[in-house]
Amino acid sequence: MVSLTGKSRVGSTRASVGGGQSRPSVGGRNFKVFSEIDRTKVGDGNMTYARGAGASATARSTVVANKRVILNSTSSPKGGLKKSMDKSSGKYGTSVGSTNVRKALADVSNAQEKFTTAVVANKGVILNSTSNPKGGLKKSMDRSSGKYGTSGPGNTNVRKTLADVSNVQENFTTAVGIASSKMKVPAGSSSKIAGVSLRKSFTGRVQRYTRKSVVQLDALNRDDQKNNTNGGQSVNATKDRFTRKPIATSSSRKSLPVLRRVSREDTSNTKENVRSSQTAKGQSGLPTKATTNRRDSSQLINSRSHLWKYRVSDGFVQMVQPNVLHASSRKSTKPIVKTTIKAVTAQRTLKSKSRLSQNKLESTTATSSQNKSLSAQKNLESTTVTSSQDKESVSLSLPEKSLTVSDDTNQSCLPSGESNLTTNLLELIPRKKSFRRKSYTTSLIEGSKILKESGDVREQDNLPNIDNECNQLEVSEYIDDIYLYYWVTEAHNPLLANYMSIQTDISPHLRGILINWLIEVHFKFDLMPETLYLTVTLLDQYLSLVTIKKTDMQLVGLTALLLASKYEDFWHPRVKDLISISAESYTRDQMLGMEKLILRKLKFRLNAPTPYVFMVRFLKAAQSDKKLEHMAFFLVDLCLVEYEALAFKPSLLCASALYVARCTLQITPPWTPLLHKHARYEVSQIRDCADMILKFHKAAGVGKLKVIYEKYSRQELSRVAAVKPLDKLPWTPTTSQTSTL
Amino acid sequence: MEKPGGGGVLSAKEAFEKLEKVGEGTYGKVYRAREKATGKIVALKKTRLHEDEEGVPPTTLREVSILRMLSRDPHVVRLMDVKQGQNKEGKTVLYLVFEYMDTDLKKFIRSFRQTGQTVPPQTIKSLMYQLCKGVAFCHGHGILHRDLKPHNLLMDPKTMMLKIADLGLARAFTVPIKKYTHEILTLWYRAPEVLLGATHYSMAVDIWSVGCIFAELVTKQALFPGDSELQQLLHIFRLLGTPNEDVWPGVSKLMNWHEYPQWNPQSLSTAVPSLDELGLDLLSQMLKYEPSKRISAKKAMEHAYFDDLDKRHL
Repeated sequence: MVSLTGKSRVGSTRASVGGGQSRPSVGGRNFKVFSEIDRTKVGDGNMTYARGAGASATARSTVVANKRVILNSTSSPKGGLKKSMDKSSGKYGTSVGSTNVRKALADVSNAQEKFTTAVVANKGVILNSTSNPKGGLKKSMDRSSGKYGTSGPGNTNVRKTLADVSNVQENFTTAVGIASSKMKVPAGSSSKIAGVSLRKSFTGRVQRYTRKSVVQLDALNRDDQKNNTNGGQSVNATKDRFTRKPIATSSSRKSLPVLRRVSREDTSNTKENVRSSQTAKGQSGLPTKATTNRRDSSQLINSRSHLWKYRVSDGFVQMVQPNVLHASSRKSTKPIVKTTIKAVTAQRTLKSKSRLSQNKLESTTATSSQNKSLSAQKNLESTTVTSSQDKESVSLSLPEKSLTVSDDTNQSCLPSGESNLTTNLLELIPRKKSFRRKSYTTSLIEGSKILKESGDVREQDNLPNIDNECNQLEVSEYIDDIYLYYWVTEAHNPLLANYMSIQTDISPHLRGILINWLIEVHFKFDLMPETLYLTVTLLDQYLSLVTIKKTDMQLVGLTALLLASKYEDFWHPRVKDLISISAESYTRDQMLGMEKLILRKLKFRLNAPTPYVFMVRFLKAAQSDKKLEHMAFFLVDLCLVEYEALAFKPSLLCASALYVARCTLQITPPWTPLLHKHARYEVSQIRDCADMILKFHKAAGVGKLKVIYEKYSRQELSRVAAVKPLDKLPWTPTTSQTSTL
Repeated sequence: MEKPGGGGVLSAKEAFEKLEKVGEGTYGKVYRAREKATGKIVALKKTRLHEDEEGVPPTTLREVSILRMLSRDPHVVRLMDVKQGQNKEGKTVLYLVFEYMDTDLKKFIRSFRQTGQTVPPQTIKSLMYQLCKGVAFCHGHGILHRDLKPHNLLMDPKTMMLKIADLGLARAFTVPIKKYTHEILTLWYRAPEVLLGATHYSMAVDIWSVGCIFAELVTKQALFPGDSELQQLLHIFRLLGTPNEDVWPGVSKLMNWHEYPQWNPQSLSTAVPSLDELGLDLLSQMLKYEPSKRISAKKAMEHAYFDDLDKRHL
């Protein structure tokens, strides 16, 4: 805390010193820019100055450039907010002229701050990252609770302050990020406090100053968008000229092609943002909601800016990606807006991931850019449809606590046909999959690929795949130890077959309803499949130890999902998002209290062997293709919602499901020596379980709990739900005789 | 053991008497403490749960869960209990109760450096065997440590028993977030594929750290004491030669790969002059550039270097 205060003081002092110096140079810059581009806004002048400062900053940094960029980005939000508050507290009036000076001061002080950051680098970084959220919240409250009321001038100040904050933050980006700041300013100018008319008024005033001509105050929204688009393009044009300077001074040869690639992508993104905005507006008729959408999109732009900045220094791309996904999970909005936000989020995720792919391929062409734009647009639409339909399912599956689905959403989505949904989803999810990170468990057991190769050699005298061996060799040596642990732990754990006997208020049926819903929640949050199996395992383990009330059932389920994703996934849904999808049935304290309670009861043992780890191994032993894999997982998922299935160990469930899957797909023989070796079961041992699973398969699309059926009706899971179940399992004559005796 | 929340609060504070702070773990402080009921000395690791935000940190969740799983091996520090309590501001804290160890390998090596003596060869052999055994146990349960360094290897100087501690970073993926106060320390034992930005972590990253610790036990100095990621790489390249596609297929495609000064490999005996032939062979197998070629901890335990070691009590 002390060092933070000290740093803030230093910043303030330098800001005041820089204020005197900045006026003449700002004037010169403005003159220069105006002579180049007639219609440049005032903001462009400041951007020009910022670019100049950025160039000199780049010139001065050598080997530690990367570190400084990270340090600055970490510390800037707090500093920016602080400075904004200082400036808005008295010295400056509300005239456009002082706005210009204020922005210039912000640029100068931030440029100077870059060079003071290193002094308190170590402590500053940790303290800033720790205290930033609280600091930000506190400052926001201060601003909104005292000096600013609901009057017109007050709102104007708030709006400008917000714009200043966004400018301050953006100034810390390199030249690559400047385009995003241009896109952000219009978004920042939309504020909940300010109404639509006030926003137009502000825009009109700026335009008047820029063009020195009278602009009507009641400009249309379309005109605003056109101005934004034109502004973006002109900024890009200007940026290309200035981009050369930092490149020339950069010590890294690789930065040159990276910057160029990013520059081209910026233009594409500008267009896509405009299109996204139009799509969002089309979906919601009310201007208020449109305002909300724009505010949210400013956060999305911010995330994108982060990604752009870090990609310049290649070494940190991997670090940034989790943050981006993390940011996207923070959003919680009303149902109708959530649909759009989710769509935009999916779109951005796709773009950022394909951009990573492009970096690897080291090729960017106009054609690929256009294709990306088109497919992104298509994915946007399909995701909207998907989200809406999922929402309807939610209300069906939980009649007691159904979520409200807006009529507008229904109307906009009903016209779309099933074929469109299928086609679009086909394009959407495969791309996501190719960049999916591996979960904790998958990384451990993927070594069993070597097992498959070894199996081939022993059983069929085929040659192993050298590429796989090379990558996995150091893991494969331990794969037997890892699975030995799973087998031992499974044998050691008690069966959960009859735990409902200690429960008085809940029933197997209620458990099925809950898990059916959790599977949908899991799908919506796009979590790893391993996380789903761990969620159900934790839920059942807890319910076998603690008697709960019916009203707590959903809380336990959501908290189990939170714990499972924390353990298994590389990100987890935010607590407030989980509370939101429960229709605000619980408080944060309740959820965090439940988390601690579950951990205490389970003694922090979260690494239970789940069906997933066994199924992956057995599928390798079966040398399965995609369809068999999806069919087997489909059958295991059907077991999740059935309390009856708890009578069998996870490994037995998986072996039986795989057996039924192979029979259903008419793969012969249904049980091989390799399967017997690794699944450790004889056909006779899995008979009862397999019969139960076949019963579930026959009932899959008929009952009320249909989420699993719908999940596996999608093309990316081979539409295995549509495969007709067998009438009965084809037990071999020998086995049949044995059972008869 | 199981008590309601209120009892937990009293129990956590009343059960232990904090004697002194002995360090900072990955998340939180570590105290030497005495259990009042038994008089036993324990290490108490205190972690705030940040309950005003997102609940238990995933790292804590994984560390505790993993330690629960690994506690039965004598070469992994034993987690005896987990208690939840509250601090003065009413925030929830988690107390991890570990067995207490008097010192760590970092202090052990430093004491020899100060006296100018060398660590006895049989002591080095015993400690290295225990380290390989503990690492093999972790890997055999699918756990990568990813932050092996002398400071994380606890020791009992009377019995020369060694235990692996601080599994807060233990996991199978996700590049750790930098902590600048820790950066210089952990850089020294970081595998080259990590420094070059490899996205696929493997158990070989721990073996590299074991190799660095091995050399440090012999020379009492860090083998690759870099003070930045680039310097760390250059230290490695100067001794082992700058890697190329011949000795390390795929190296030039790693994310952080650049053109580096070209050095030829030097003999390991120039860096670790007093180590015998078998030790040098084991060390060279631990410091292979290509991760898949690096020896595993399990195989290292079978290396001839340990043949003359009495392993009955280890």
